[in-house]
Amino acid sequence: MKPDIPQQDESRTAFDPEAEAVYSLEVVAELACVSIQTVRHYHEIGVISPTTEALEFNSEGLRQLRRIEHLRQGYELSDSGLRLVSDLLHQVEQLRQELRQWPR
Amino acid sequence: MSVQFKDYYSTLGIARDASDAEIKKAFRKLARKYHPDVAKDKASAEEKFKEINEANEVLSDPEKRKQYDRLGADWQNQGAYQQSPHGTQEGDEEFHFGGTGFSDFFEQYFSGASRYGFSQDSSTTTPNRTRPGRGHDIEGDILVTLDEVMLGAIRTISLQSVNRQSGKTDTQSFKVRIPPGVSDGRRIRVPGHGETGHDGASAGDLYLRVRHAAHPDFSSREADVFRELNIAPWEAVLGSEAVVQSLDGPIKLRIPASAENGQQLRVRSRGLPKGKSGGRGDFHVVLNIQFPTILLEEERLLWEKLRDTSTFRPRPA
Repeated sequence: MKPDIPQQDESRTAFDPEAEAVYSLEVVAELACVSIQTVRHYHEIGVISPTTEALEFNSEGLRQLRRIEHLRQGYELSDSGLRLVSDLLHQVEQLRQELRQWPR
Repeated sequence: MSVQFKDYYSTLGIARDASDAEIKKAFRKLARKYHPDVAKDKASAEEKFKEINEANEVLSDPEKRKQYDRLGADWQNQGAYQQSPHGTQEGDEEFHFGGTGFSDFFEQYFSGASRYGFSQDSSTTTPNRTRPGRGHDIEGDILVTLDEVMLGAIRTISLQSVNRQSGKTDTQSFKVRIPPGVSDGRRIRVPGHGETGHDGASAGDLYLRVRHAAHPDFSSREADVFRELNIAPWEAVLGSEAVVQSLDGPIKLRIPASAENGQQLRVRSRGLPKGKSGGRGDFHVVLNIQFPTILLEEERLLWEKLRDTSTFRPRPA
């Protein structure tokens, strides 16, 4: 006979994206494996968007930061290169989204 | 592991040269038949509904359809599909998703996201020169039905990674809560479920990009929901009442007199939830005036009478 397995509340074991906190500058730097100075610098050149003036980030901001860092390392892009590429990526994504929402 | 080619045209039961209207019609017919809310055998219908949605996702988008047609022509040529468009074949590991509602074939060629770092993966250029040991982030699409957006859901996702060198496979399964009101295009970040870290470093993250499943009757834009309503010409002219089904029950609607074709009637706060705010988007009913094609003799006489007595002039004489 199979032992009784206590019914677990699914919502407790599931990862909950809404429970995610907003990350402070220190935490976001650690999560993206970069220094705090690097985060500040990316903000100064306008390639990442924090959610508050105190440089706090949500998960989309963290993703942006990781992508920019990835681009800089992988392609050895300069600041202006990073700005150009991140602008273009942003635009492509927006246009694709608009195209999707176009009444079919 | 190679992916299996999907014949989207046969999924929708249409010819390869089908028009956009034919695609839309075929999708609607099948989606209505297999929609999980309607079908009798829910489990098999759900599978079928996902397949139909995936086919529609590709074929109703001109850009993706073109890409698919090119791919289909090359499919017999082995070399052609070894090269993945997103560079997912490069690097140490390849990934296969389960539970997202999309097939491996779709993920690899049409998701626009990448399973391997970001689409602009650097593993071809300078793999380990300055890269910290942390694993890459992985991105994938997740198909979410409008009912799931309405109520929220818990989905079980599995992610299989295959090491190219050793052939070792590793599958991890986890549950992700889909929050109510999640918008199309939003990425859900699942920490630590990306690529394994190198030299004991932490794993990357998994990003699941939400794709609202097309619905046979409703479409969505942000939190607003749209539905077409067919009406008779006299309903448009004289006004009328109709009961329309929304995502959460019927709505009694008053069609105003002198309504126009394509006119939208808005019902406030009956659309999709707007995240945590508790608010909801609007429900829009788009009027679609239909004209009778077969007329009984008596009807013909009435139209003729209308023609002869009406002062309406649609164009200058």
